[in-house]
Amino acid sequence: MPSLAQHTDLSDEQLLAAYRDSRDNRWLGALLQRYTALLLGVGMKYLKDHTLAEDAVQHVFETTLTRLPEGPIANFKGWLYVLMRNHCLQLLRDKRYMADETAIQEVEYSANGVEDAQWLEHSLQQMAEALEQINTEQREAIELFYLQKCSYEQIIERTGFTFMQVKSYIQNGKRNLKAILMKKLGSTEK
Amino acid sequence: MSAPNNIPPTGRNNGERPGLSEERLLAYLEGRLSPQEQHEVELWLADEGMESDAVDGLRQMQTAERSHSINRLNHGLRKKLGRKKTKRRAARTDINTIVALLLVLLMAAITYLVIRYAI
Repeated sequence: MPSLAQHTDLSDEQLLAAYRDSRDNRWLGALLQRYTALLLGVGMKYLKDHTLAEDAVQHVFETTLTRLPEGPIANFKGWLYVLMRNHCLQLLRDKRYMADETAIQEVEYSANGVEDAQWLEHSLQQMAEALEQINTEQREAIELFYLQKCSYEQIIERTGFTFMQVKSYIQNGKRNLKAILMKKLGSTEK
Repeated sequence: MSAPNNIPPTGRNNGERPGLSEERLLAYLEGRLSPQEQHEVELWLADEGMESDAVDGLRQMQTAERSHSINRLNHGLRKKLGRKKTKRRAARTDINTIVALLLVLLMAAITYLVIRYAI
């Protein structure tokens, strides 16, 4: 059993295992503290209010500390993200807080995150053809970001897009490229 | 933009791709990373997931407000852990009390039997 002082050197899985072995909540606390900023950010994105976002993070902390499932959790961060997002969406549904429409729509796409890394492996030829089929702004953002390795700041300087536009063009462009490439491979029905 | 620094690039989860550390995320939001380091963080934003959502949300907060919120939440978490630890100690005391009571009852039973059958 590692000592608690070493927690910064341990992986999420090791911290979780140490908690399960010892039932000492401090292990779980050390693990949760790694994700405070990310959880707060997710709360802010959906709830648009820092007090509500903080309350939502506290709720997720409490739920994790008191009702962590006994079974294995292969990806703690993913589990925590789903817990936080679902809680925020429930609050939005219950109290009809004003969140932009995209916030809820985007949730449907995020389940595909694991596959996202794979689409880049398609041939450059297919990619070049697919790039011609997406809209100009998305193509420009994708080319600057992936091919020229520009940061968002540099893309903003070159194109005049806003930060959110750059982010959205890259995300939507990737999604569209993936759909086009999948169609080319004849696997869209899978 | 500042020169490259010693902020750890990744977190410590054992997934297929290492996580984005909180230090690096906050450094990114505060504009303390080089363009190359920014690009590395932004590769996370190109995927739709926790980091991407979190950056959208954290960008809506001022640096000081963000930092206060994070500190407040971490402080609350530590307090909560302290309370839970105390509760666990109290539960242990309860078990000790029960064991002591059982011992007393056992002793009383033995004494009763000794008195009854010895006399």
